[in-house]
Amino acid sequence: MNALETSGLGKRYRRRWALREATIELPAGARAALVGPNGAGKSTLLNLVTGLLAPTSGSVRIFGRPLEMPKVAFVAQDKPLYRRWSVADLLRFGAATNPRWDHGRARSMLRVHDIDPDERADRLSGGQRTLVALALAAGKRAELIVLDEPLAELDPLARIQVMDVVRTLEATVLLSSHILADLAEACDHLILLGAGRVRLCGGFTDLLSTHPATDLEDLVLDYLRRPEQAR
Amino acid sequence: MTGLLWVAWRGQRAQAAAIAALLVLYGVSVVAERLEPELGGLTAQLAGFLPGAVCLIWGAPLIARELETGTCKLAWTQSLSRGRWLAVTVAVAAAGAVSATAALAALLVWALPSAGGDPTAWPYYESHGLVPYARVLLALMLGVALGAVTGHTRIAMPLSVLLTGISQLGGRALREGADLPYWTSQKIETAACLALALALTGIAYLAIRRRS
Repeated sequence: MNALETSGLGKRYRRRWALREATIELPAGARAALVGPNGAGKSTLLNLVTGLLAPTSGSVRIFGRPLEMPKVAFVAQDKPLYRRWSVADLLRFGAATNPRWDHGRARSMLRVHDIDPDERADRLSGGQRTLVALALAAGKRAELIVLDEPLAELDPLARIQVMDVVRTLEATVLLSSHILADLAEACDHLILLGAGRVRLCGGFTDLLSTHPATDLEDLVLDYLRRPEQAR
Repeated sequence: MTGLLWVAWRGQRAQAAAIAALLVLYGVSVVAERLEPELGGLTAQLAGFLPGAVCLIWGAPLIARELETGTCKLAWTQSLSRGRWLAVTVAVAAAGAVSATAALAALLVWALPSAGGDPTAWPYYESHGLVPYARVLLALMLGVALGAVTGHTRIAMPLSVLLTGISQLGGRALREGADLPYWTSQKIETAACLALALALTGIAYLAIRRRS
């Protein structure tokens, strides 16, 4: 069973296609890294997958069915949280807006990382904000968790903390990032976008077995340097 | 459902507190003026201030700020639809605006007990009967809809205050021209404001449905 399937997915803004004919398959349980240069369409793809954007063409299926919000959680770029709310308020928000909410799961994730429930969101560090956003996604018990640049602007220690949590999420994970080295360890699937099109999509081992590159970074850099090879 | 009401209240309690503070401030001036008749009717002239304050403080930022800070992406990726989210959010704001109007009306019934012979006079008409409730809902939804359509608090705030003022002055001009009995004119204006408020709610819904 595929956790995520898109077919011919596209989004056009006026005359420019931000994403075109994106066909992706992600098996359940995968940890997928979404990689590509700025403006390649990564955020557009993630916003389409989570229903924030309506597609111009094509379709999204989550576990074989059209998108249903309880099944998908999204940690958007810059981790938007209600700034003046306490962490406890944010968890209460998660409980109120999600029927399958698991309070224990969300609370224990925050306890492990020593995040005070009474702290206001705007007093948290970037890493802590990311962890609170992840706790909301985990508490929702979403089956597909989508993260848009969760590692951006985090210090190295916070990046390790966040990737440790991502690795233990009980869900299929799709995350975009620039930092390839962090993804190689935590992920097992790669989706490479370039100029609004899917260049590569598959499991690490499959991709590396059909390509002369020796590791993930080589593979991605090779495609980014010679984009014409992709078609 | 009670959980969703709490969410909406948590997001709007600062606005509720600001409106409450304004009412207290206004109440103190009204009492001062009643005790000191020399002060000269300023509070009576300001009796119609509430709709403008509500659209400025409560309506305009309600959705615009979510769009500006990106928290709409948090709210709209939980398990409830955008329509339901909007309904609960607007319902709490409307309840707050109506409660504030009721508090102001109670104060003014005490402070302006007689219409000075003319119930259609500006301060009396804008603070008695049904019109203030309908007017405040129209003002609220002007702010909400403009915020949802423009996505900018700094545009929605001045524009909605301006349009609320125009609706008040326009209502007054039409009343003076039509010369209808007090209750007929109250009912017509109430119905017009409520219909407009409802239409603006629809516009706000369409605006957030097509946004990212």
